[in-house]
Amino acid sequence: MRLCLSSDTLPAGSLTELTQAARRRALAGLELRIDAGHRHGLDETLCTIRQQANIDCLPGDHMPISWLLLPRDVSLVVLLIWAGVADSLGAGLILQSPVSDPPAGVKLALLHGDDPTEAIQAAAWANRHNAFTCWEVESDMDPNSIQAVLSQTKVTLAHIRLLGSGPEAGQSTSPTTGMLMGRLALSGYDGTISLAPSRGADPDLWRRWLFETRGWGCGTAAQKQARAQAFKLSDAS
Amino acid sequence: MITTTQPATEILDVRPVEPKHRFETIIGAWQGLAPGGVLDLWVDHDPQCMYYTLKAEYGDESFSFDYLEQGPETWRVLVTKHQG
Amino acid sequence: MAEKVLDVRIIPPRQKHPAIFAAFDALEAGDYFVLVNDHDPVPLRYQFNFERAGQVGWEYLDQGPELWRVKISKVKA
Repeated sequence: MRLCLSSDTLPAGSLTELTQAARRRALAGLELRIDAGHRHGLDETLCTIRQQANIDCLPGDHMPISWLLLPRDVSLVVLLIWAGVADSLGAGLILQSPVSDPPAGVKLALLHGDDPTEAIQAAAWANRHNAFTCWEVESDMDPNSIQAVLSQTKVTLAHIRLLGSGPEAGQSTSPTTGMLMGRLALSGYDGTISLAPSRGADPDLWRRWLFETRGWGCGTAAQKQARAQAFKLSDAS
Repeated sequence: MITTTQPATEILDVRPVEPKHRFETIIGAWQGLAPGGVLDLWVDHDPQCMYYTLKAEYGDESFSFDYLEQGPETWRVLVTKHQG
Repeated sequence: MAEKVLDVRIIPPRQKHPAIFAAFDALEAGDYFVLVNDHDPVPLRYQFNFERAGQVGWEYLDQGPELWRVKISKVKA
């Protein structure tokens, strides 16, 4: 399994900033949402030629782009454009709705949620088209449903969007994340997992976590105080 | 009049400390305790791994580990450094 | 089947050790998983030594500075 960073955590971030944040957290790649509100430089309104120019202008040391998350209901023409872009980047495409005649030669994953029925349908589409599935998991999902979804998508699952992870993880009382990660490990999951905010998450919380705090807990000013206290005790001995 | 000195108790709340630094924080506090001193440890999960760490690195006889609270949100343990 | 990898960085602190032990207990004898963490999991190792004495193989594959990778195996009887 490889962890990556969704541009949902920092919509206003440039690709350079997203790369810096992902490197800071020792993550392996980026998932970029194609949306006018995101500032990573890959914009759905650009035409193909300008898109190629943007790709050529990407900083040479940018983090690998693992996935592009397309808007819902893209036309076939737009899908073909993005398939070309993804191919240039070595990225996969996440579709929010199934298409009947998907382009070949690019890795596609159909997004589904926690509903096992939806997972079955997504896996069926993926199997028909030699494609994959992408599971969007809420961190407060009923943990009893994990196995129900995983059993339907064990062959097709290539990417997971884990909502409410990162700095929000410590706030969750649900055992979902631990159980999910354990089941994925035992199944030999070798796909990607992107860290994404929950709906309504505080963007400042994420920005601080990406650029200021270290570690994977909730690190606050009290942390420094606690450490100073501990080391003062140590010095006194 | 005889004055009895209570063993020093240091309150250590590691809940705001990032997991990456909790181990060194707790061990640092433990090492700084005087014999007879007590660490009043507050954590957001069962710190039994710290029990095993102290047991392995300092020996059973060197400490006691008494739970005052056992979740579901907060664990509180009095870790006493024995005399001698 | 691909290698079993358990990246525990994103697991909330309260769920970490239970998730690790649940994964270990589900392993077949002779099998392993690779634990990925952002610091040396020393207390975990001690906990394994006491709670699963004689059952655990522990081999560092990477030791920082950013990531630690430990191969945790279930010893064959």
